[in-house]
Order: sequence, then C-alpha cells, then structure tokens
Amino acid sequence: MVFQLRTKSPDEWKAVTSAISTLVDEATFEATVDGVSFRGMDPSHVALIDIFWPNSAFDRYECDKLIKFGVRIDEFSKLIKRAEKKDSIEIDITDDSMLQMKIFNGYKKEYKMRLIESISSSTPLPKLTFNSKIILSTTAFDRILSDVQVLSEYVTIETRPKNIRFLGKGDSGEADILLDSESEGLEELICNEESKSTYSIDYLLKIIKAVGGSGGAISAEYSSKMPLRLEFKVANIGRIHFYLAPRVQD
Amino acid sequence: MSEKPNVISSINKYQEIKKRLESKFNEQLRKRMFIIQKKVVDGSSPPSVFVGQEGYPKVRVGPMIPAQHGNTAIMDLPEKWKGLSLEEIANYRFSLIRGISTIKIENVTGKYIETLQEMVMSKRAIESEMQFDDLIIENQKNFHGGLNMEHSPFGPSAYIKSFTIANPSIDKRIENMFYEKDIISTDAIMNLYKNNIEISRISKVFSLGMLGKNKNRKLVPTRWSISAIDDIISKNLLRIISSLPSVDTICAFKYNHLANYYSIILLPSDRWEFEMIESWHDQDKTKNNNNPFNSHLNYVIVSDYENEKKIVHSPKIAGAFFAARLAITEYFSKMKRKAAVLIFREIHPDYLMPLGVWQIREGIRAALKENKKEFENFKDASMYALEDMLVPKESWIKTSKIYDLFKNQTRITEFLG
Repeated sequence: MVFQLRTKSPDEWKAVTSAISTLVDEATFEATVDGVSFRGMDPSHVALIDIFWPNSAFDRYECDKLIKFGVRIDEFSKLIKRAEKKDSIEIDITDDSMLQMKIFNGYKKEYKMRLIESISSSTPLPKLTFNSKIILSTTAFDRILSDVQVLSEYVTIETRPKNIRFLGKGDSGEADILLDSESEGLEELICNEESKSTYSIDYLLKIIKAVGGSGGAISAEYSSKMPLRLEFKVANIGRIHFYLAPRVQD
Repeated sequence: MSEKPNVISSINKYQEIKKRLESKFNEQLRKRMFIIQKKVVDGSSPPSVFVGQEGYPKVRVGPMIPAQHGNTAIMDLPEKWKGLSLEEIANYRFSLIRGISTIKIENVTGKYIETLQEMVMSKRAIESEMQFDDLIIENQKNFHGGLNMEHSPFGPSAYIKSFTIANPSIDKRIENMFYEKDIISTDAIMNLYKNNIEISRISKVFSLGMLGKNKNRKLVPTRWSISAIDDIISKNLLRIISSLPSVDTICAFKYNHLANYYSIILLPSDRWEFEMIESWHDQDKTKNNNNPFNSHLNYVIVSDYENEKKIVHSPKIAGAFFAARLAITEYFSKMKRKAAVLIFREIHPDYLMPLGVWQIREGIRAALKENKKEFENFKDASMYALEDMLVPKESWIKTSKIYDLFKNQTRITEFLG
C-alpha cells in the first residue's frame, strides 16, 4: 500500500475538518488515485456535505488504490490545529491502522492516531436542478442570517430576477431583508424561475462560520421547496458542497 | 362520540377506588390521631424525614415514623414502588406520622438535626420514638388538601418535644460525603449517584444540609430538594451525553402505571432538544360531569421545552420536567447515544392524588426498558405514541414545539430521486 499526502499548509485540512465537524463526530475519508473525498449526512439527515480534494492540490500525493480511513473528527482536528500557517503536513496510514501525521516546522513533530472503523456504505447525492443562484460574500451571508436569527430560527429565501429577500418569522415578530444588484456583498444573482424556500438558520450559520473564514464568497443554489446547495470557494480544494433540506408547511 | 370500552370500566373503577381511598384515608387518620393523642409514637422509620417549605427560611423539619415496627423501608423508597397500586402506595404514606420542629435553614448542626442526619444515613429502617408537645396537630382534612406534585403524601403532623433513635448501621457511601466538607454539593451528589444511592435517598440527604462545602450547607425543603437533585444529576449527565453519537433511527416507547400514560419519541439529532407535554382533566370542568373521561373539552394541555440552552424559567409542568429529564439522560448515558426527546404524559382522572414526581421518573425509566419500536418517519412514530391517549392527537401535536421543529423539516434522503 502506498499512501502519503502532503500539503503546504494546514489550512485546507482545517477547512475540511471544521466543515465536517458541523455535521458528524466521526468521518470516513476515501482516497483514490484522483484525490481525497468525503461525503456524509448529519444524524437527522437534514444536511449533507460533499467534499472532493483533487490530487493536484497536494504538494505530494501518493495513493495507488482505494483507501478508506475513519477518524474521530475532534481528535483529528486537535492534531491539525498544532500546525501553524506555514507548516507543511504529511499524512500516512500505517499498516496497523494508525494515522501518522508529520508537521514540518523548525523541528519535526510526529503524531500517531488510532483510526476508527470506517463506514462502508456510501451516501448518494440528491438529484437536483437549480432555478436560482446567488453568490454572496461570506461576511454578508453571515450578517444577513444573523439579522434574521434575532427573530426566527428559519429563513425563507425568495429570489426574483431583480432582487432577493431573506424573510424570518418568529413568535415575537418578523424580519425582512432585501438585496438587489446594488447591495454590498451580493456578487451574482441568477434567477431562471422565481424561487422561494425555507431553511434552518442554525445549520447555515454553523457551516458558514466553520468554512467561511477560509474562503471568499459562497454560492447558494436552490429551487422552490427543494434543498439548498452551498458551494464554498476554498483555495486548493476542488469542492466543498453543503446540501440542506428545506422546511415545508403542511 | 362513542366511548371506548376501557373508558367505561375506568369510570366504574375510578368511582370505586375514589370511595375506598377516601374511607381508608379517614380511617387511617382516626387511628393516627388516636396515636398522636397519646403523645408518643414509636416505630421503625423507613428512614424518612420531611422539610416543609412554609415559613422559609424558618422551616418545619422532622422525622416521619409509622406506628409499627420491623422493615418499613418500603414506605419511603419510591424506587421499589413499581407495580404497586395507588391505594397501596397511599396506604404506606398515610401511615407515616410526621413530627415537626421549626428551625432556621442555616442551622444544620445541633442535637435534633444531627439525630435526623444520622437517621437518614441508616442502611435500613430504624427504631425511633418521638414525643409530642401539647397536642398542636396538623393534618390534611381530606386527601386533596396539603398535597403537591413533587413529594409523596403522608399522614398527620404534630410538634415534637423529643426525638430519639436506636444506634443506626450507617451507609458508608453517604457518610463519606457527609464528612467531605471541601467539595461542592454537585460533586457530592454525583458521587452518591455513581455509587448507586437511590435518587430518593440522595434528596433526603441533601434536604438535611448534609452535602457540599461546610459553609454552604443548609436545610432544603423536601419539595425543592427532589427537583434540585433531578436537575443537578441530569445536567451533569448531559455534559457527557453531548459528545456521544446520535441514535440512528426514530423510535418510540410506551408505558403506563398509576393512571399515567407515557409515550416517548426519540429523534436522531445532534442537538439536545427536550420537550415534555402533559395533559390532565380539569377538575372544575369535570365537576358537573359524571363521566370525567368523556368530554374532549375538559382537559388542560401544557408543554415545556429546552434545547442546549437549558430551561431558565420554572417549568409549567414543575418538577415533572426534571424527573423526566433524569430518566432520559440516565438512559442515554447507559446506551452511549443521544437524541432529541419528546415525551407525552396523559394523566387520567383515576390518578386520584399526586403521589410525587418519583412516579414520573420511574414511569419513564420503565418505558425505556419496554419494547422499543422503530419508525421510518416522525408522523408514524407520533401516531403510535398517541394512539392510546384520550386527548385527541391534534391537540398534542398542535402543542408540541419539537413536532413543529421536526415535522416540517424535510430530509435530504427524500430528494435522492
């Protein structure tokens, strides 16, 4: 078995682990010749994360066949956090089910961590077509959701060709936030068909706070009463997709 | 609306038990009063103590002693009451005569309190004797008076002149915490809990100001002490539970005893969400109705909810909330799992007197030991949970915060195409 991953900095690993940690405690990564991927849902199956990290993004990537490795996310990210921004990180899997992490800095740090049993079943992706797409800066997205959260646990996103509204309704009142092409933070608005759908703010804010810091803008795509897909642009990582199932009224 | 057959038999049973209970209560009361008038009661205390809340911070504290000898432990050990009828439990409780003496809550030393403390450390029922003052007697006029939801009922009370006990055989586990005066009460409580001391005993020990840092020790009214113990232990268990994985499937449990019907739904969730909804029949509205089970309009329904931010106000369902939370967190720490929890409790009119929150704690503990049923979706689980309830399903569902949170939330798996 040949398996070795090396990155120039811990940032990508940090983004990946903190994204995953918003949904699950244990994660099974899958590595192939092409790259490393993760896919998993939270226990209530409301959200799904789909990550693909291509081999080209690594400083060194050696993997000759499919390898699955399971980690406890909090333990794994504790080790990652011991690396500073400019440290390179190397990860190997040893034959005795241990993950070996080397952090290169002024001196060489080496950790070994026991792997956990990996999950064999794979999570399929929902089949979706998106009628609306918006791209918002992380800061704007975070702020808008926090604005709505003051009054409501859910946000209704209403996209029209010229503008987009974020609505919230709680026991004590209502929130209404309107953005158009002039608004700060709104980088793109595409509306093929008017779309209106409601999502849990808690899930959205958790993932945005976890990953947002590593990237610039977030793209959000959805259709009426269908799941929302967030795409985080993180340098070097091919894909971080976050799917969130909508709330519907009877 | 047609009546369910089991409802009709419940009504007959209800009237019958009510009559029997009342006459038994009056008969017991006469007997006890006769004993009290002799100004002395000697018997084996289970051991049992009671701290009233009236007059706080000057409270009325004392032992409870039945006029009988031998192994009376059962009379004050709710953990052993599973399977007993309401009448049997009430009879145990009515036999306990309560001695009282007014003491400031800070006074946790002195011969009287120390004797009580020694008594509750006893491993088994203990021979005791109390002599009464000049016949200042208090009693419940009928069994609806002087009762509340948290603690169990008891017989008449009288002011104590003197009180003595035989030499007790002390439970070391409790004694160790009693003499451990440098740790906070939470740690002492958790120590007793982990050492398998029954919840009812921990709350007795706590009510006599026997736990925690020396300077903080004080008497705690029994009623508050019971809920404080349920609250403290379950909060501590929750800290460990929060890092456990969630259950994988929606499941439900049911149990009923003492005219209380419990249904519990566990939902996969990473967050702590806990809701308990209770319904009971409104006494005022049922007064003019011969059949208290019949009308759909005669019930009250209330809910209490908390998430990771623990409940801050007093729950509307009072100590029941904490007793239920204790049973649930205990289950999760044993199963090494967590979940969002929705509990339904329907109290039927033949629950003729509140017996104390132990019956909620034990009811839910028992439910979680019964058959677990798994479900594909929340709707089916709710149908199952509510099928035996007299109060209509829609009313429960309309009241539930968790139902709203989960029911309207779709799942990714519904969109796999």
